[in-house]
Amino acid sequence: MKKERISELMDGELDGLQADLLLRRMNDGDARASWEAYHLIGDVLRGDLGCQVSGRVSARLAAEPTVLAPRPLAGVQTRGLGMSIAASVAAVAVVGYLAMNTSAESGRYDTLQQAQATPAGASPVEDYLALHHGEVRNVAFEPAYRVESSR
Amino acid sequence: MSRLFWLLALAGGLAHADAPPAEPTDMLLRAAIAAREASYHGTYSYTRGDFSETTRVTHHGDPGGGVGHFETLSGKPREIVRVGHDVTWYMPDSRVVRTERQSYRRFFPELIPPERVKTVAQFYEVSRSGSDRVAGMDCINLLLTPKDSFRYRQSICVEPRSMLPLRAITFNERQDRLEAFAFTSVEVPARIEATSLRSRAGDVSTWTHESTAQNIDPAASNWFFRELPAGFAVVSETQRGMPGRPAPVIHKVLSDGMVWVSVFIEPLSNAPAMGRGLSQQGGASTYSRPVGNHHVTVVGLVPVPTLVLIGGALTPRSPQP
Repeated sequence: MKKERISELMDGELDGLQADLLLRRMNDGDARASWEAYHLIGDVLRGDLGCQVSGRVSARLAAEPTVLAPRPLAGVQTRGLGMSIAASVAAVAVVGYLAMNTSAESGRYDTLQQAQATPAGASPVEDYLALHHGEVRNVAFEPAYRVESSR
Repeated sequence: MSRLFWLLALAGGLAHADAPPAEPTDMLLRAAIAAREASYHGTYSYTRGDFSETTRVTHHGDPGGGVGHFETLSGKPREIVRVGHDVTWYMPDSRVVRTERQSYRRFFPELIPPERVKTVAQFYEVSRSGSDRVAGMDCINLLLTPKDSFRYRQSICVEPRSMLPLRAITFNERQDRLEAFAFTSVEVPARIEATSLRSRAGDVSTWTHESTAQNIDPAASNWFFRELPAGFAVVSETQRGMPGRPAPVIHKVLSDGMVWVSVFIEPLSNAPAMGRGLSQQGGASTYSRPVGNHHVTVVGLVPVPTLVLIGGALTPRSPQP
């Protein structure tokens, strides 16, 4: 039950009130398994692959390559980007696993996506990161409000 | 911790700048105060993933927040002058002056506002962890170990005489360095010349003047969080432009006093080329989801569940904007 909620939260399907309830119950003992599954996703994203991806998920992954497996970009250098293509495939597998456990009948896992490892500067993620960190390399932000010089 | 303790700690931090206190949380408070109230100049590096930049800082300290002058030594030439919360950027290559109130940029070594140290100590176990040498000076390592799974471990090395933080590192669960600020040189002179705090750009009357962000009153915001991971609170909300986005983006910044998380909200018509779900780049994780006809992106150097919970708790005030 809780796993479904987690999955829906991951999938962006949970509305605010449901997310709220999940958040409140996150410290419950019976939420621990889901919480650990949650951490597993983080582990996989960070490249801690391990062997947690079950054969069943791997088989499903092979069966649904265009849906669940990100296509490697030709010639993209993936080393040193914090996440290998293999890791991202596994991340999709874990997210997919959580979704399939709950909503395979509705076919909703086809909405799951996973951003691929892309070269620095080539990803839309970079725009958000630059704004978040306030770095100076991408300071040519388009101003929303331009103040004409009065001096 | 009693209120009396904090009053004493605050008074102690102001009155005695030498003799390192033994209590780690007291040291953290005094380091936070020193970063704001001491005067210093030096050079520091910032690294995150494969990104790095070097910055020269000149800081005139006072309890009100002080004045800081920052100049990048690598990459594009940038000068930043911060007076309290007001930040002015000088970009000589494009001849642009940009002003921001309530900047979202973190200025090393002022990473923790002194008034937030009490909150930080609620959510991190503060301990001493040996000593190190940074920028030619011995320093004492303070470890901030999170008491829950919502945040990462921090290490701050504090010079015991000035109490200035010389280095700050964020580690993930695998103890990889996610980001690091570190002085390569720093001095605490008797006084800082006012001229060294001014922009070197000279006459900028012919430059383009910009203001990129408009502050939003949190009470008037169209978006709120039903609940947040323990310790996190919204510290600012602005509306700003982003490259290639036709509509402005709402930027909420959340913090637990130590780390910052950004939440970006924009109409789906902005067509951000982001799927929903999780991604990771350059040491930072990102979580995206659609909410109604808006796209929400959560970014920060925090564990993935924290991002997902923050993103999941974001709710539009009815009616749906």
